[in-house]
Amino acid sequence: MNSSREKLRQRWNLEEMAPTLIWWVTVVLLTFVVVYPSLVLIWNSFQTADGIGLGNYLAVFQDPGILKSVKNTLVVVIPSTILSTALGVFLAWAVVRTDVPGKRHWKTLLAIPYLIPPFIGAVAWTFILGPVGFFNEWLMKLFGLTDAPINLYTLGGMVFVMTIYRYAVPYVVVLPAMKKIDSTIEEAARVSGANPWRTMMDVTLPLLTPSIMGATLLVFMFILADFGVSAVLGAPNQIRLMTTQIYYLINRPDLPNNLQLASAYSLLLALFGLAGLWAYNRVLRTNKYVVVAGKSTAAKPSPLGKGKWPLFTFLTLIFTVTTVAPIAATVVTALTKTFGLPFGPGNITLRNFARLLDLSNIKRAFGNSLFLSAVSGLLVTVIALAVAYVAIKGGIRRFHGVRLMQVMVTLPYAVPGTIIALAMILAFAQPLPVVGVKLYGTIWILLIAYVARFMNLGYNNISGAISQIDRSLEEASRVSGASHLRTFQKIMLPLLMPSLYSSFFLVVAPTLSEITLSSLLWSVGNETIGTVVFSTQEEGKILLTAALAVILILIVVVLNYLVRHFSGDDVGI
Amino acid sequence: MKRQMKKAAALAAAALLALSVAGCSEKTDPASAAGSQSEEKKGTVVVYTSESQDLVTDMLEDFKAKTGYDYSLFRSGTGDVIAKLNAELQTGSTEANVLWFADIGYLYQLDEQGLIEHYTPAGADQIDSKFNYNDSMAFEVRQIFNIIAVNTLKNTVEIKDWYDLCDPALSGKFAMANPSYSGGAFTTLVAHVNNDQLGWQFYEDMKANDIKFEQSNGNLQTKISSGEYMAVSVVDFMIRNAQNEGAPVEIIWPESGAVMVPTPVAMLSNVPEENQAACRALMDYMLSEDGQKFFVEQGYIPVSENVGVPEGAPNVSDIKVMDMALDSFIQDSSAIREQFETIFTAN
Repeated sequence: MNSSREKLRQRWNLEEMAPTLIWWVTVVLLTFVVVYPSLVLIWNSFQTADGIGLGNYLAVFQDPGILKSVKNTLVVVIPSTILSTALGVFLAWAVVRTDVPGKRHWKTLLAIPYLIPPFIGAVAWTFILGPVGFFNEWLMKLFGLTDAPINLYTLGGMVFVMTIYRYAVPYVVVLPAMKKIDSTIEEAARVSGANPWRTMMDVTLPLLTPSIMGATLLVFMFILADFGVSAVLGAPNQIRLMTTQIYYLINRPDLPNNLQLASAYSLLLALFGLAGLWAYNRVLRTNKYVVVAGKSTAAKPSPLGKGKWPLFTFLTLIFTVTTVAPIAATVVTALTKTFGLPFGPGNITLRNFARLLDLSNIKRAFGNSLFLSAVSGLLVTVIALAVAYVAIKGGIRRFHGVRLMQVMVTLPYAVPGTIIALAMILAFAQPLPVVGVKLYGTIWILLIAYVARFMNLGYNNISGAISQIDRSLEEASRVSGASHLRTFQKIMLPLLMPSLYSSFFLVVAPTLSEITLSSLLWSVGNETIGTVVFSTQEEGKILLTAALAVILILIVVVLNYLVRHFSGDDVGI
Repeated sequence: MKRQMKKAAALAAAALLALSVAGCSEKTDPASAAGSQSEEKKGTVVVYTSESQDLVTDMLEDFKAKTGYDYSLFRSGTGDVIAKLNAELQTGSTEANVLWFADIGYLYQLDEQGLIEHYTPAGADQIDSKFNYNDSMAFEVRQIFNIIAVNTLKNTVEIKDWYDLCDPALSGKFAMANPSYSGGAFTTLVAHVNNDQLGWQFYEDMKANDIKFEQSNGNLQTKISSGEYMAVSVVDFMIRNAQNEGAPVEIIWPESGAVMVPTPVAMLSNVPEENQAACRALMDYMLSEDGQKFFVEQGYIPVSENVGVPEGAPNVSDIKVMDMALDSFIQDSSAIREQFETIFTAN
């Protein structure tokens, strides 16, 4: 009855308005950082030698090279997506829902492959499985062979390396959701006589569908956009995936509009990423999944009984193959005095680390990269939280652009970094219209580029987590008179905290060693670790590259450990 | 509640830690402190290059110490540098003043658009006129040769000239940099296909012998040292430097000639007034005795004949050079790239 005054009061209530404000600030920021460069990229792809037109897109379908690379990409991406998701989810289940011995430590150890920079990881694998790699040489000695039995430089080799290297993505994404499942449901299954395996397959996994789908989508895009593994393993036999095919075009300045052509090719690549997004949305829309309801108790692990030692052995095997082997190969290389001579007492040195410190720009590079990765990790987490929350809960104000936003977030992630870097140059090389500030040539262009590129990681991860939380929890709070903001603060935030950290972690690790964006956008004083890695690797300084990688991996592991320690094990991988 | 705060605190702590490390290292950086103390000469030269980062930096530091001009450097792969430059030019202006990379064909393209300043450095009359491209459009400042390198522990084939690389014993064990990505490898390809003895047939035969490719010369150097390949076609200075560090590698100068890889230095025509003197000073320095001696110390063969050669390198007059077919490089670049693609990726 007194509704009009009441409504007016409500509308101007700061507590009630805050979400709307936050939402709009986020949207403006996202438009500036992600949407604007994406539009520049799209516009650029229509520019041909003779004006605006579809010429570049027509060229795509007439080029046998690109069609072959599409085929190669599908042959690599589909199996490695399926395999790495299966492995990642299984491992997450093993360390959270079972009583496997040492599960606390496994949790962290199994995430380490994610910390190894892609270029380094691929090179490390050539040290193990390449023609003169440790494992091949061992097999040759064992069976008296004259030729290396395993050929890593094939499509199969790429599937193998991408799988054992990228399972960590679905693992990190599914881990928080796995912890939040109401264990009474699992208990019910067990009481009814199901064994742990049946419980996992019939109860746990179906409950986790949104999270697993999100993880699959993410790792699909991850592998689709991969450049390190495909460049290193594809080079000897000229096997090109779409990313390396696009890179080939960028290297053709003799063609009149090679960059515009490359943009068109990139958008084709992005279409595959968008197809994945579409499939993901479809699955989520047709089913209703709610896992985290009010009375969630602490996750009680399924007792495995006799099964726990075989599982332990399996985890040890996985850890050895995916983590110990490549890191050992990297450490051995970093400690080698003369590359090419057998590693042994006479050929060990620490001078590669000392030399690294001698490189004039290296300290600045470390400082810059740490700063950039921490800030972009925070920004991505906060922005993704705001956008994903509105997109899924829709509780603030209906906004039809949410779907568009989702697409725009995908775009910078699904195309090669070089193309995004070019879009950034085109978008920001001139001073900004109103304020007159020029971002290009400063460290801020790198920050914008990183946030734009990795927003997708945070967005997909967090949206998966939010859609697992039952609406009733928030409604209960609202009914009891709490404002939106307060409800969010007291109910949603604590539940989401582990997923927020995993987003932060997902962004920090790749940005710390980011190469493809940085190598076009850095400027003096703003060098990053990635640009240094890229130079040393390209110049054949493999020993220095390995030493750099060892330091990088150590930094991330220590940072993560500190977070775990200070949060009492609640947050952190 | 408490737990939640703890978690938030942990997250903030992680971020703060990273930030503080970043902050510290920026403050303590000696290079930026030194920059402000240099002599009072105005002007900075902005160099875009694909040459080795630390070697170029060392050289520019020497330039700065000797002349007092400041520099700033962007270094990336040849393809990336050109892509960046192209994108910048598309927006109307570029940050670059001086260009230095292994794609002379692209320099000719820029020159046709009037973007290159024809400047003749002070020492230009002291060097062979073949190092002066297109009437002072660009200059060679040191010589890089594409040669054959072998792993002394693994190689079983006697290699004297390019065609020996088709020996069946080298099947799958010989590699070169991919001409699609490496300027040096593309120059070599152009020289080879224009050579009467070799031609495209040489590449057909190498393909039949299962030739492998690598993305960059650096990868070749790594893999020839490790013994993954018995022989590679690669730039000389990398192998010389690896050899001097004890790696089991050796250079073979092909009898019919090594290929000189042009890595010319050029100045852009739209350099802002305040940077022009610095640009000219840099080009002068590179051809000066100081600059030439510095290149020799870094393991490069100089263009000047008066400053000696690096350890383990032959005398400049003893090197047999294959004609690098500059005209063909400029005119047939696209056709040669396409032909290469057809042979090696068509199936």
